[in-house]
Amino acid sequence: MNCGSEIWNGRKEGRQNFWRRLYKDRFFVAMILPVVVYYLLFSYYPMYGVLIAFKNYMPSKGIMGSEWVGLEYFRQFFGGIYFWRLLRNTLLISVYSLLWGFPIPIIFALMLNEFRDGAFKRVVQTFSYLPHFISIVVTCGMIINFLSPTGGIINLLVRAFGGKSINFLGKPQYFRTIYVASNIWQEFGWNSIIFIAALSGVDPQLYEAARIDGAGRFKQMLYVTIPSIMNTMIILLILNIGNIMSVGFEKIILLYNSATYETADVISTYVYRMGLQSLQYSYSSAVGLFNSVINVVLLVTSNAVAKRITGMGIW
Amino acid sequence: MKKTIAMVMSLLLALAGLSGAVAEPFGEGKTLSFACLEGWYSAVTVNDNLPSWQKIEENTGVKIKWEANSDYNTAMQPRVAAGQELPDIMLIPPAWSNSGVYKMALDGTIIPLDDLIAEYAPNIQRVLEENPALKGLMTAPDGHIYSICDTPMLVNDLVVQNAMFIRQDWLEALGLEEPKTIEDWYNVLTAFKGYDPTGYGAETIPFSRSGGKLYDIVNVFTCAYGLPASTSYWWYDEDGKVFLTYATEEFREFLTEMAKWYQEGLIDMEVRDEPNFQSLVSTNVVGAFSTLSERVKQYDGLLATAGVTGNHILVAPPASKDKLLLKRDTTWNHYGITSYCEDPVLAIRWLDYVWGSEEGVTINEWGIEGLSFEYDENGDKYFTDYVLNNPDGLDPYNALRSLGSANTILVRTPAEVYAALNPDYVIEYGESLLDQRIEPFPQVMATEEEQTVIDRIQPDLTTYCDECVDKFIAGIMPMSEFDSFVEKLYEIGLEELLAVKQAQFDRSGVR
Amino acid sequence: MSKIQMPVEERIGKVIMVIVLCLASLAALYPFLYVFSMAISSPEHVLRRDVYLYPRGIGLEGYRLVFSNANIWRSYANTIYYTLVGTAINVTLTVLAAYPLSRPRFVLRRPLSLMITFTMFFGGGMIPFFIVISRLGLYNTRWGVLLPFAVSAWNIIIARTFYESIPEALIESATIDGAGNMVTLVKIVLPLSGSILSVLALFYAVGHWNSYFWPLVLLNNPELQPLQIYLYKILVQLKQDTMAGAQIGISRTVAAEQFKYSSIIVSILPIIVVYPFLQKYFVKGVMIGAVKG
Repeated sequence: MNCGSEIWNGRKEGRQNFWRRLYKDRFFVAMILPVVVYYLLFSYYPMYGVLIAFKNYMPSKGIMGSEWVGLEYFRQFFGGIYFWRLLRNTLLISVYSLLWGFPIPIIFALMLNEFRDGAFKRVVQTFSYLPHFISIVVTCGMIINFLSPTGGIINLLVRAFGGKSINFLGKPQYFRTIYVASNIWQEFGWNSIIFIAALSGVDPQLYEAARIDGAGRFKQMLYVTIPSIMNTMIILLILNIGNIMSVGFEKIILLYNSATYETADVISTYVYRMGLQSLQYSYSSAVGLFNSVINVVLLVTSNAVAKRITGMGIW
Repeated sequence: MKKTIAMVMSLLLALAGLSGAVAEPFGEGKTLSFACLEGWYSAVTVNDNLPSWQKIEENTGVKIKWEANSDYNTAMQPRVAAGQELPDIMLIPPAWSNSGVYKMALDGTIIPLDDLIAEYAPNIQRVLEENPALKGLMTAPDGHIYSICDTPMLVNDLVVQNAMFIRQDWLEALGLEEPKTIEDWYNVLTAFKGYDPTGYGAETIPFSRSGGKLYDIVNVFTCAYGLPASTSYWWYDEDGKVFLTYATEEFREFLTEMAKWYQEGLIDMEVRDEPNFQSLVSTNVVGAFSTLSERVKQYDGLLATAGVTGNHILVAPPASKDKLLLKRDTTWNHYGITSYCEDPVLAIRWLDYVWGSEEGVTINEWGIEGLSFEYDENGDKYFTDYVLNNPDGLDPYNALRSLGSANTILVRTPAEVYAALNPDYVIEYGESLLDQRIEPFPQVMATEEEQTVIDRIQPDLTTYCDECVDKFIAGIMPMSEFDSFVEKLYEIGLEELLAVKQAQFDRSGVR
Repeated sequence: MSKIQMPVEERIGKVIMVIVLCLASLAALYPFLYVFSMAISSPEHVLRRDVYLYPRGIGLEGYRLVFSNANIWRSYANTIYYTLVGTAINVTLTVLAAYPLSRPRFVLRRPLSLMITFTMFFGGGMIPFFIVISRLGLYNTRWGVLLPFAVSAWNIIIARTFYESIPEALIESATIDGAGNMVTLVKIVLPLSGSILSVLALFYAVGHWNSYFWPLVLLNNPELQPLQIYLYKILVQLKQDTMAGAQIGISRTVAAEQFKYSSIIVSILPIIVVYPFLQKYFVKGVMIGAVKG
């Protein structure tokens, strides 16, 4: 009895406490209110759209009015002979992209950080982010030219060293490397911007102190620079892990062909090809939902792991 | 008074409609929105209501609110899927396909046109009556007509899809005859590879082509094995039985030969898009390829631009028998009137004018009288120098397109236009191969149940076929695995899909 | 002074870094040079694709085509409008959300962070989103490509992470000094935000500048369409040529190929020029200096 009422009192107190704190934070609440409204309106309200995946969606009947089909479209997706291959390819391309594509911009930013602000640093930084602006159609055209077995620069080099021309884009074993490497080429400078900005916030006195303690440049980097951008790194890593299933089709369809489907065909390209033949709203919704669920699971897991290890996380 | 005039006018109008002469504007002050493909000439957009369409506006009185787009599917899909903000008339996505028509009809997004056509569209009515085959392809499985479609049928006898282009100067340099059979081709290509046709030791690619897969490069040679040239999946035998061409013995022979050619370097090992392919042609390394016959001038032009002396000639594909060269598809894009259209009568009358009437087709294809075409003393139309020798240096198609004509918008191109815009030898080439040509596998609209089966099986089947065929050609998969390839097709559900294709074929009335 | 004190291995390290950075920036510069050269080379070289680094011959047909259509200026003006207005909205809302979320004592910090992050990975899809936009009457209006994209969860999280590095003590001391929340925000927080504001502005501005899909879907009125729609038209047309064998003979000219490269130069130059101006906010120690000062 007593015990129970204490809990009840505690809860009540907690609730009162919450409202009191909320009142105290009213300025913050007012600040963030427009963004909350934005998300409720443009993200949360439309979430009823996931129902499309479980219905035979017809535009004129609307999302709610369309007929239920249960897991029909999921069955179709999971039951397709290519499901496992698509899943494997999607995951592998993502994981490799993350494995290589995540550290390189950081390393680039750290290296730049070793130089004093000046012309060299500015020029390097400006050049590095240029490729981000070149349309993917053009960069893929360039990749194809470079790798061409007949006139491509890479194969000219291969032959100069006594090798035989390799049809890089015709062989499944090269596809992932080409995809990941060219992505890094195009995006490393752009992706480093956030780290460069974070590095600009490091207190110079910390370096001073480290230097007095006898730390060399490398040790300064290890003990001062990296810890100060750790937070940003972890947050970005978590966000990236949560995006593992989202491999876009645009670049892949420019580089793959049926001989390289074995490694190149991912979920989004498969759905894209399907859409060219006929529009299947419900099927693609089901696939999208599947991707989202995996993404969310990975996000929650990685956030939890990060919190346990480093004490930092997104929420 | 006004009423009397109106009555007389409408009487005249009716008479004019019957005789096919110039019609009076019927939609003065009214507006229709129309979503379609963007024109092909990059420097202008049909959204600006180009001169030809202004002319049509003058003649019909209807003001068009254009929603033309080159990335059509991407632009329209969300609107169509949400069923919101749709235009009055639209090209039914996906473009270049009829798969959306019946779906949207069942859904109620587009409305049936039969009654509207019967009542308000005498020209469309006449076209359909004169062309029962076309009418068949426009009719949905429920017997209704929901769409008007782009059709190249009137020019299809002149266009050869699988024209064989070969470098005439290379043949001469090596003292070779024009190849006729598949063996001839093998010999010519081998000579192109080994005997330096360029005269300066360039590393040649004897046979190439643009496309999305290796098979696209060589698919014309299927006609040497008793299958239709460039066969893509479905065909039928004398008894009207539908089969998958990839699962045949003939196709195995074809693949065996192509794998050999690939191994010997006779065919390109790269998959190229069109710009990439054109660039290859211009570097003087391609001996032969297969594409639309009308492009011969264009490819010769590429050689000239790049400073290469040389030209291509058109030769007949090495078909093993008659009737193996497929004509182009009879229908391209379909256009429907949406349920959002407030004035379907106006919409059908506008379509009737643009697609059905002599006058509309003339403006849409010949452009503007006095500018792009004139009438000769016999009353026949001919293109002026504005088109054939454009002052701004545009080629004939682009000259027409700069006016808004000759795009893929409600196409029903008359044969004379095609003949007037293309060199005589291309037309003669087309005519010389008439006996060899046959209608493609009919693109009949699927019923709801059929579409479900197609949606379920076809993506896997096509992925599997495309992948294996390329692997056979490239030698990644040995030919000994062909039997297991065919077996696997049945596992994927070939049987079920064949039944659908058979039903569609039977419905088409080709047999 | 400091150079003399630098140990040998550090100097070697520095040399290696200079080499690596130079190689990296050259590799990054290359595609731009290539596009630039292709855009002004003469037609036969564009066609043969034997331009590798520097322009060969001279041909300005591509540029002539880009500017032959008066619509380009209208599109340009639209893009600038969307970029300026859009970025202003974006940055304002992002700061308004990120700053409260960065304060450990904010009672809704966790639930709202979760709420915002969740939207990045889970959504209802295109169809209901479009329906909402349409119901709000935003379809085919300028607001249609601004309001539904008013803020990005990704950038809120990035900005929040930045604001977390502002010590709570600093804020508290200001509060003790009698400064209200508003004063703290304007007098203390914003002056410290130079680098994050410039990063946000850059990310959002580039996003608007390059945005293609939603303007394409939401704006069918050519008067409202941005530059990217105008330019993609060409790219898409070049690509489609290969997709459908069943087309009326498309007469492509070399100029069309060159158009592709010229249009890229025309469209990216303005946004590239922005960067060096933002760069000055990335200078080391800016933030701490401001605090101390």
